[in-house]
Amino acid sequence: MNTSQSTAIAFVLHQRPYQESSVILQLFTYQFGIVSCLVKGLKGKRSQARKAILQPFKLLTIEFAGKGELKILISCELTELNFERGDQSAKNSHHNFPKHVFLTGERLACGFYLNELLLRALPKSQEFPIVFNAYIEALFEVIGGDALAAALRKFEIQLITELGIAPDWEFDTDSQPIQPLKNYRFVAEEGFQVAENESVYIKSQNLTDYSMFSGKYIRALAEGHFTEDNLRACRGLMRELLRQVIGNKPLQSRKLWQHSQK
Amino acid sequence: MPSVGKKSAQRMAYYLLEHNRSGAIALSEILSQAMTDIGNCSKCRDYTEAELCSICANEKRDPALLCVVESPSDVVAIESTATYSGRYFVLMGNLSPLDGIGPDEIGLPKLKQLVEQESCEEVIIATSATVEGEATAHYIRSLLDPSINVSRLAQGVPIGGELGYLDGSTLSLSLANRQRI
Ligand SMILES: [Zn+2]
Repeated sequence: MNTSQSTAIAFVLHQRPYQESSVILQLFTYQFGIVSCLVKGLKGKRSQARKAILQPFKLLTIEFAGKGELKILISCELTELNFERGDQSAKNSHHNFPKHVFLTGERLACGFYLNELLLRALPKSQEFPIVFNAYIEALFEVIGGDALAAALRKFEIQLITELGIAPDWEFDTDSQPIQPLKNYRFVAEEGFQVAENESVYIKSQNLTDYSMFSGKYIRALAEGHFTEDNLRACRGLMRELLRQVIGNKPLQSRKLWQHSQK
Repeated sequence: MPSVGKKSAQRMAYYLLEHNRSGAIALSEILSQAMTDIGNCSKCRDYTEAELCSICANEKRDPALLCVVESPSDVVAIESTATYSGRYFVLMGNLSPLDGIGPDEIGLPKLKQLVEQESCEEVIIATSATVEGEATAHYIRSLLDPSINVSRLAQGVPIGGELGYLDGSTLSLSLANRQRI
């Protein structure tokens, strides 16, 4: 990003007001990853059209300038999905990204969750084209699909894989294959550790240990085989894995999601 | 301060010091009084000096009809249309999970309580046409008893507006929410 002006394909992740008539956008761009951009003069009737498109979940082409961390937005327009796709599996599934998206309820809560996760997990100004494609895939599902939870889990796996913190899904910490009938505990930076003796004790005491996971759920996550009964366990396991990047502070959008599911 | 930059503020301060000290003292007293006396209405959360704001205290306003807005200036805007006879509830913001603003921060438990106490029959949600405004509206709907009639302000073509100049999002939403005539 040496030249002072850049063009990028982008989604607005978050918008917050700045001074009287400006906003600061957190954008997720295909070319530069997370970028902060100042948009000046965004109040009043004349900027209505710009305000309408600078909302989350709209695929934009933007131009921005500036050398510091905070860029200045020069232009923005709604765009068709026509850049080259890195994800092979997505090749046959594609139509254009919808221009006018109105998410509501549970779908909107999922959208907020994806955005918050990206903002918390990705370092700034570093490109993550595969995560960008995964985000688009997840949004397609959030907008019009019916497997919301599975779409979120798939996105999370691609995210941690790209961040280089995904555990070994095949072998445990003793280099033994992960087996569906054994129980494991996740150890950051090391992987899945067998917790067989502990699990016998826990069962005998009638306890529930939320940090212990059955090998069959680990396999399900790795292979993306989600069913009604494993989704819940996969979510718990994923939350444990995500702790590595987002820390212990809970995601705010999770609360909204929990409520919207009632 | 909105509209007032550093330089304007300095000019104002110098002007008052040189030409109108007594006026400035009076102004500062009124300001300090306002800052200490003005609180929030115990029913609708709008700014008021009294326990209840003038709208909540007005017996003629229909308590069965409640309009939920984001800010006190929205109350002023709707009041100026002189077409609304119900009462208000001021959120002082919007649900914004990414800013850490949840239901408690915008007083939603209080809204639920108010709706139940006043036996409201209809709630009109007048939040912004943004993703946060949408999240807030949806949350309020799910919070209130299903028997309560909840609606959201229509989003569409402005009066005197030509379609060619309208942004695509507004136009497509107007199309989706078209009305039978
Ligand atoms: Zn009041």
